Amino acid sequence: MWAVLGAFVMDKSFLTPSSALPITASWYALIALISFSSVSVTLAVSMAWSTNALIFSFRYTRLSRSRYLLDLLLAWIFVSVFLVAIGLIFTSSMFYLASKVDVFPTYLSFLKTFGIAVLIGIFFMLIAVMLVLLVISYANVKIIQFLSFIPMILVFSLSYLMIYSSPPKLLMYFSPWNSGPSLIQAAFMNSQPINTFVSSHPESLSWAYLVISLVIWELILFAIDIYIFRRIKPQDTEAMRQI
Amino acid sequence: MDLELNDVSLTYAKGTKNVLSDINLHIDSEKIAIVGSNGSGKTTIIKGVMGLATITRGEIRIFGTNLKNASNVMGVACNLDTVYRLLDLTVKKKIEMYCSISGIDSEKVFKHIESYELSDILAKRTRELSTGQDKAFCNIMALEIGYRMALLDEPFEGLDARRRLMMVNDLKNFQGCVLMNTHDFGALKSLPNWGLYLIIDGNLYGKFNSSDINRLYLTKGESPSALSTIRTSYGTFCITLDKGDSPLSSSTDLANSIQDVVT
Repeated sequence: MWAVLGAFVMDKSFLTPSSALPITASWYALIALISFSSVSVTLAVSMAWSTNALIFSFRYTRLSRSRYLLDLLLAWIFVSVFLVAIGLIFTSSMFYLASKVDVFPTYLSFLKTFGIAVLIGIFFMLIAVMLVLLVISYANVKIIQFLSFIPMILVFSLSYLMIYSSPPKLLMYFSPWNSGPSLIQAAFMNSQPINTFVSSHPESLSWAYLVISLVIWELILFAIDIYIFRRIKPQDTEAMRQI
Repeated sequence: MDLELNDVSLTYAKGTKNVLSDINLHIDSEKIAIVGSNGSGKTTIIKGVMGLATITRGEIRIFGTNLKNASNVMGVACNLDTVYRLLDLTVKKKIEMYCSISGIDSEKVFKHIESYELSDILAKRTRELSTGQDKAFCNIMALEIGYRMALLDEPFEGLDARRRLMMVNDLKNFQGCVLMNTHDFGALKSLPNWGLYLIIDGNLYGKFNSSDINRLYLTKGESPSALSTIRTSYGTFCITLDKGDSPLSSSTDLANSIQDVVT
C-alpha cells in the first residue's frame, strides 16, 4: 500500500534516473520502520495472554527469562526476514514500474539491507516487549490495544524528520528512529549513511557508530525487558478476552 | 518440609481485600485434600503457590526456598489450564515443549494420554478441547511435570466416570506429594489416609484423615469432644467423630450443609 502510494501517487517528476534509487531506498526505509513498529507490538501483545504460563515456567521449569526473550527474538527474526524480503521486492518493483529506472538493489546491497533491517527489527521488538511488559506489570491491561501507536508516532515524528529537514548528527547517532532509516537507505544504495533524504548537501555519518549505537540500545532494552519480566503480573483471562 | 504456608494472606490485586487470610499449611511428603464450597478460596491457595496470586502477608516456602526467590524449581506443577498457554500450539507440540523445559521424557506423557484414550486430542489446539478433555490433559501434565509435587484444582470436575476412576488410581499410585482441592467427598472416600482440611470463610481447619470421612459429623455449637471448633459469620459449629447433627460425607455443598446445621 505504502509502496504503491510512493511510486504512483506522488509526483513522478521526482523519479529521474539520478533520483529514483535514493527515493526508492528512503521510501523503503520508512516502510520498513512503519511495518516493524506495528507488527512487533501486535506480536508482543500475545505475551499478555501467557502471563500465567510465563510466571509458572520461570518459577517451575528450566525456562529462564533471557532464554524466553532470545527465543522470542529468534521467532521475530524469521517474521522480520519475511517482512523485509516482501517489502524490498515489492517497493523496488513498484518504483521500477513507475520510473522505468533500475532501482533493484545489487546482490551485496540486498544482503546488507537484509542484515541492517533485521537488526533494526530487533530494536523494535525489544521496544514492543518493553511496552507490553510495562502495561501488564504496572498499568491497566485495557490500554494495551493503544500501544502500537507509541512506536508508530515516534516513526512519524522522528523518522519523518529526514524527509523535511536535516536532523543534527547527535540525534542521528542517538535515536534509532533516525539511524534506522539512514542505515537502511545506505545499505540499499550501498553508500555512506546520511542525515537527510531531501537536502542536496547531506552530512555523512559513520556506519560503525550508527550500528554500535543501535546495538547498545538493543543491549540496554534487553536488560530492561529481563528486569521487568521479574515483575510480571498474572492477567485475568476474562479481562483479556474483553479487550 | 515440601510446602509451607506461614500466616499467608493472599489477594489478586494490591490494595484489594484478601481472599485468604493468615493461612497456615505444612505438607511434608504427603497427600492432602482441601474441601470447601465454590468461592471459598481453594483455588487461591494453588494460585498462591504458583505465584499467580499476590502474597500480602506471611511467606510461602517450597522445598525450603521462599517463593519470592524461587526460580527453576523442578518437579512442581498444577492443573490450572492457564499455565499451559505459553503458546497457541497443538497438544502434541505443547507436551513436547513443556517436557523439554521441564526435563521430562515426553514419551511418558504421550503414553499417559493414550491410557486415558485421548490420543485424538494430540492434533488439536488446547482451546479446541472440551472441558473434560482439557481437565484430563491438565491433570496429566500436573502429575507428570509435577512429579515431586502436584497441585490439583478440582481434578475430577468434568471427567466422565471411567476417567474419574483412572484419575483416582493415578492419585493412589502417584509417588510425590499432592495438594488437591475438591468439593467432592465421593472421590475422597476412594483415597484413604490423605490429610483432609476444610476451608470455610477463608480459613483452613484440620487436619483430619480422609479414611475417617464417613465418621465425621457437623455439630451445632461447641463440644468438649470436638476435633475442631469453627466460628463462622453465620454461627459456631464443630467437627465431631462418630456422632453429630449431620454427616460430613453426605454434604454436596459444604456451605449449605453448615448453614443447615447452624440455623
